[in-house]
Amino acid sequence: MDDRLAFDGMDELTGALLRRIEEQGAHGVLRFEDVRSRSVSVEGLRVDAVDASAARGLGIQVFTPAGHCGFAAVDDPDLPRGLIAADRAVLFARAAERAGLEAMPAILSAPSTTGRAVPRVRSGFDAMRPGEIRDETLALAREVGEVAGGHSVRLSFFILRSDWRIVRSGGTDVSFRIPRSGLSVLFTARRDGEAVRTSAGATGTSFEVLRSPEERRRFLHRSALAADLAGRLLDAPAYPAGSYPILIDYALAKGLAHEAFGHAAESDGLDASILGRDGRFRHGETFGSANVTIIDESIEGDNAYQPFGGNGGERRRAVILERGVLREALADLHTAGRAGTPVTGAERQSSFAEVPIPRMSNIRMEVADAVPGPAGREFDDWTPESVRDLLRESGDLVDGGKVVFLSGYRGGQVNPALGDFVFHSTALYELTPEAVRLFRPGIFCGRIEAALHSIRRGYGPLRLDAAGTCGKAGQGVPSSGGSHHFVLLSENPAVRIGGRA
Amino acid sequence: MSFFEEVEREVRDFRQGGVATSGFRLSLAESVVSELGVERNRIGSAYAPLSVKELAGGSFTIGWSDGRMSSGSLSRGPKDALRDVLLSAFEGRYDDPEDAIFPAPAAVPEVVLFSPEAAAAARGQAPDILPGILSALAGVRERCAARIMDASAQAAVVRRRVVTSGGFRAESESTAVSFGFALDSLVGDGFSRRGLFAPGDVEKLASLTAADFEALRHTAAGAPRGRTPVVLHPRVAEQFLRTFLLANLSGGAVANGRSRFVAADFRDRRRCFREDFSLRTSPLSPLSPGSFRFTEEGVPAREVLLVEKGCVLTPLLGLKHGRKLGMEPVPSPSAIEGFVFGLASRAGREESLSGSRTLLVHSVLGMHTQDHVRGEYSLLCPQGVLYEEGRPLGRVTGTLNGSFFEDLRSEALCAVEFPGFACPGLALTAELS
Repeated sequence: MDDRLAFDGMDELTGALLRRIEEQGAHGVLRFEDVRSRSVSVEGLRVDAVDASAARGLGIQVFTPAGHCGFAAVDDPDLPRGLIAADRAVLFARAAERAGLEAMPAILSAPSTTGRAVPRVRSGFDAMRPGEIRDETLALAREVGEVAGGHSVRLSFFILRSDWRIVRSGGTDVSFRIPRSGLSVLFTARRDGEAVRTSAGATGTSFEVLRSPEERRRFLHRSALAADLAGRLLDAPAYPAGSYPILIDYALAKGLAHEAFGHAAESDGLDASILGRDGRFRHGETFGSANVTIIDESIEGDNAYQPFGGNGGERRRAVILERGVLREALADLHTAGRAGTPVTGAERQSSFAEVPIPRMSNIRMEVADAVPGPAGREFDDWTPESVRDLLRESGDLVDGGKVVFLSGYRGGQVNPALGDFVFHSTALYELTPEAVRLFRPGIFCGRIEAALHSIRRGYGPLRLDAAGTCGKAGQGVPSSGGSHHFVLLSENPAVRIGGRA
Repeated sequence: MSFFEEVEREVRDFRQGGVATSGFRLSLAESVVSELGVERNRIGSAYAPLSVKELAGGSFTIGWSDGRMSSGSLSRGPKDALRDVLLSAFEGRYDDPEDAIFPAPAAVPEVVLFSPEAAAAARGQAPDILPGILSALAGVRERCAARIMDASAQAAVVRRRVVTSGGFRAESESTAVSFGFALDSLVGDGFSRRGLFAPGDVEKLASLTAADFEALRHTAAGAPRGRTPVVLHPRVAEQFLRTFLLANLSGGAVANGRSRFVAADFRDRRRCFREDFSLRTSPLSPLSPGSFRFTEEGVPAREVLLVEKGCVLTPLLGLKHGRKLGMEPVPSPSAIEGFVFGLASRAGREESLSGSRTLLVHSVLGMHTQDHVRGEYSLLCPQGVLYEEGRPLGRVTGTLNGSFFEDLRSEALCAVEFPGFACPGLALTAELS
């Protein structure tokens, strides 16, 4: 296993750049990134693109002694280019000071950190040559084609390796690697001028997602389900708008935790968040059902893994909500103080060319006393009918009752200041004791607090691999998380399914 | 040797195991971008500092002497890194004969894309420009008595070069100045130009957007439900048009069966929209954010009619998908200002809101979650202002539901002109729940 990182042995460069900044009386943060990626896309049974890319750069954030800030980024960061960037960042920080812009001095007195994290992966970035990746992806596409039911298919695979080194005045020096890989398939079903899309995916850290027999079997199973659903959705009617008891799968529960709660708990936004009052985190206040706990942490092997924050501190586990009570914000050292909450190292940036901002990594929702479900059953083995039976057995679907089951996360959005959230799912099933009926879903939306107070029960073990991309402040970073296989929300007028009345 | 020259030489001369480059397309760019932001009223904090980014990179497509193809992207870096990318691309080469097009020399239209003043702002040589924009926005915030403002201002200068082995070679220099803002998370907007904003322009544009701020602070009594006349603000209309119309006009989606439209729709000029609906590209207007001179594949910019009298004529096509569909390439603008949407029925903002209980939709949540192929929408509208005979009654929240393709066929559809916006707003009837 290659544990060597891209910026190992570059102490001379980092030292020279920090000296240049410090000689001008400023405090510097250097963020080096080296990212390499490969990807293959197959349309039907034909390779559509095989891409290889590489990028390397440096972002320098400088603070004056009063905490005024400037930033400069360059690619190909050798010494001459690095020095130019350092001088620019100092110049801008001084200009900010002269103009009386906002100062954030907390970083000047922050403790230093040193560390290194190179996660173990089953196969390294160079374990497969591009030609092998192409052929393996094409072979998988052929297998997916056999279960596609005649729908259009686009299959994509990517693998990425991002090496970081963050060095700060005062002794902080951390290096880490973020390995990621993923498979996704998109089906487009068409009939009589109507068309509908469904998708399936899998994430990992190595080529195993593509070549391990077990991973392939799982991916093909998901693909078959998605293809079948696409065909059936063409005929599915729309579901009437309204408030219902709603069952969501773990990916939607991750969306709920991420969109409805995680963003509202970020320390840079508490002036205008429902979880803040006068800019301070509402620590100790009740914000959800007494059975709900929400935790964010970086997990090795996960899509959103990042062991150190963008300012070089260790990212630690944050228990945001503990049995319905607010405990910790997602805080970086710039705004933890004003938010009255401890630093959790929660800042992340999409690339060396961006400044870090507080945001989530892997966020999960745990529901106390969850119904365990049948031992050993994997999430992918559930059918809508078996989910219905589970609800019957647990007494949550009674005679004459119904539960709306939303399946397949298609993304979401939130306005933390106003407390509104939305999610979309791929499918909506109406579960009654007598029948399971498929509908086209409307948007799942409502008020954050209402949703959290409505959480009634979890079913099955935790599953935390629902992957996505968080687009806060225009910076796309990988996100992930999850919950129990399913989470039930009681009917609440402030949590609704949209659609035609 | 410059970055552009080095990449071109490496691509041209690459050879591995008896296989060499037989054709290529290269699109390279060098950019300098300056930025400054306001985060929760705090100008230039560590989250939005005065910054400058100087980056170079691009993409390549290579045809090899064994008939296969490769593609990839790269950024400025050491020579061995560039060679490593090319070697990876070579090893991953694949059969894609439709993409083996390496344009010949062609006349490129002269389009003004560059403003020296904007370039100076991007390079940090005019340090007052970005703070001046944010200061004007702060004035709008104060006048509105908004509590919290988030905003950003940016200036960029980009030098782009496209070279092909067939002899196409063109270079352009362009600039952009843009700003965006949000007040109390209720209203917000963004504007972009190739040149500087004239004194007073920032305030004027922002004030237009903020006009409904007061109304949004109060909840209207008796929110309408069911079929409701709505006016989509131009920014919301842009989201609808991009998500449902332009995404389905993507040549790649059409050629690969991932669009609502199929190739025969274009060959047959199938009527898909109301008869007075038209759409064309407009990439040649001087200093328009939607303008350009050539594509990254080496296709000169030109105006193209995409939809005429409600009938679809052509998708937006790159070289590969154009060849695959047997159609001419159609260069696509990246900014909405590069498209002209035509509708015979047009109204001004005031006229469109003068009826009984009309909802002006300022923003929607969840657009990126919609199935654009199906065309149905179900969106949360957290910021809508209910108007009664031109008078704002207050804020209305609800979910907006319908089918955008049905809307584009509906008699209720009307373009609404908003001052300061190239893309019109849209008046239509939607289901509010």
